[in-house]
Amino acid sequence: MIHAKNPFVFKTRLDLLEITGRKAKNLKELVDLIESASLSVIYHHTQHFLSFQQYMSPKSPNDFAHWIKKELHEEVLSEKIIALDLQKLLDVHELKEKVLQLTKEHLASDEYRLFNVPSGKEFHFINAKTFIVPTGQAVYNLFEFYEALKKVSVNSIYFHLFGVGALLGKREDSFSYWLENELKEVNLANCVSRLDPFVFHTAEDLKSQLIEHVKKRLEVIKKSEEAII
Amino acid sequence: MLVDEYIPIIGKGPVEELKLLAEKLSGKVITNINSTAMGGGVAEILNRAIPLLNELGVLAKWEVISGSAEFFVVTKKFHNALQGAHVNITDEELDVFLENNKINVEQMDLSGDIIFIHDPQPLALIEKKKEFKNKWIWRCHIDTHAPDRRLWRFLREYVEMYDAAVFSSPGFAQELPINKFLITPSIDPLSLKNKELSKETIDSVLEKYDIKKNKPIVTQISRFDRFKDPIGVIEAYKLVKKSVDCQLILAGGTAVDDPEGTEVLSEVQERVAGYPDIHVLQLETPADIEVNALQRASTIILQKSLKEGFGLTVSEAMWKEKPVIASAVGGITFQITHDYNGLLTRTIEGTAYSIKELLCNPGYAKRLGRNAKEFAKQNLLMTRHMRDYLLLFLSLYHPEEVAHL
Repeated sequence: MIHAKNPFVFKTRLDLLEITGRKAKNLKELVDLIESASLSVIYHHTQHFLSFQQYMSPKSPNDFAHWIKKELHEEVLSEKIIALDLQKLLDVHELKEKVLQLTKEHLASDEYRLFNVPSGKEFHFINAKTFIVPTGQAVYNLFEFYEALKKVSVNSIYFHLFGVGALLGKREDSFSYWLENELKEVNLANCVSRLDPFVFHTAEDLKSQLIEHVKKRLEVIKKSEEAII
Repeated sequence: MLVDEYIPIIGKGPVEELKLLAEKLSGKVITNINSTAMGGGVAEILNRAIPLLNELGVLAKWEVISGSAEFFVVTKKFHNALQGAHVNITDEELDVFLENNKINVEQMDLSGDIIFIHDPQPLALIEKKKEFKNKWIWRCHIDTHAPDRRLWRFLREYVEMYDAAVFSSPGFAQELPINKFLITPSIDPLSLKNKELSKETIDSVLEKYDIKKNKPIVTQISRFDRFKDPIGVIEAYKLVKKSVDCQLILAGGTAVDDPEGTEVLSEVQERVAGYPDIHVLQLETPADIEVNALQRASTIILQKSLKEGFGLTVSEAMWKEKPVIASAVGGITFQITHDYNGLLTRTIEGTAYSIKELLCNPGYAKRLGRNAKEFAKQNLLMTRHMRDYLLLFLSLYHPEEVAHL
């Protein structure tokens, strides 16, 4: 089993929600406020697959889409936003531009009619103040990696799978980068990088799937090592 | 460790995260201050949170301000006015408020690293901040989305002196020049009020209060407070009772800082005369096991509040997998998504219709209850709340957008 030169250091990401005081009562205001919103605000409103269990949940992980459908009754636009494949849009800036583009197109279309929601139903912009904390787990090989995965929280898994690129604009902390560059596990790295948060019902389901991929690879390594002996 | 007892409920990872965060606050003294040691959601949360934080290594203290009966009458008026009621507050009453805060300032130890003030009663203690140069947070637990403007202008001067404020809903946060955070309250699944109970315990409580087991039970657990609309609950029940046989329980305790309770209780008792299936129970505080048993024995839980900060009784019922019918006000709308994990109503008639609907469709009621429990597990438990508080405390020392601890 390959021993890495540089360990994988597990960290976790935790968010404190900050009330920005900005709120939109119609689609036009929503566009204006998205335009001026920081990337951490956009990130917060588009990553609820983490904080909400999707199982049995009627809510989209995208707050903008949810509000546009529920309060503005603009179902077509809502569907288009939900359908943005966030897995391929790890850059939050790109995601913000896509949401703005779709919404502006809708504003310019014949379908659009100005509608103000009643007081109390506005869209409140929330900022996620992020804390990144080392978990104390540092691993050097695939077996240790597997054992650590079982112990850490789903917050840590999501941070390393999706949060790093989206939030910090770098890949060094990601699972696939380490698997490929330190352990030369190219196939496993590809498999891990293809995990999509939107196809799992719960964060725990995604964690289980990741653990399963690593476990299978460990079994193959074990068999090949036994064959050599 | 006590905190490890949460592992079977939320898993090992989130518990380890609490320990990691607490480690970063090692040595900091956090002094919580509120106005009552017993009764109401704030005291209940603090009763559970303080030992938990201390066990995690954070030096958390809890102090309660003292006050005359006159002071609590004034602060109850504040409470009502902040929740939008039309209340006339005189200059003399504002003086009573300030004078009481001044007396408490002299008696209390305000030297902790973080002073965590809960609700408006001890708000003006902040005047002492300049002496200690420590960090102060104001935690507003009530629905302030449309406060009495004059009172808010008066209180705002004090709120602005804090380092940060915390609200339970973004709609409650008024414009302020300080950081405002969103933290929802929680319930403790291991407390006497929420832990699993044996059938014998539940039956003994029903027997004590002469509640029949062979008839559906509709329950509202709340202080006897006009904002909880106990009269509206009775009227809704009377409408249902015309066609579906059921019992109603209205159960609540009292709190030192709520002098109106007795008056409202008398009004309630007058309204239920001649209805033997309505049980009005004045519970001795604390009555945690009894509340737990009544909730678990109920077919439906109501929370027909006219205003609500958050509505922890809703959280408690959801955790117990009960179908909840509640008013679409305040923090209740964060907890209940209509027709998914409960029902939201706005009128007496609507509440009556929903009660009848659930009594006649037990399968639907069961589905709502199941979804409610799952939602509560993810969002409404003490462990999530403590994580948010630890992050809040850390934010005072890490102003950057992304903090690497």
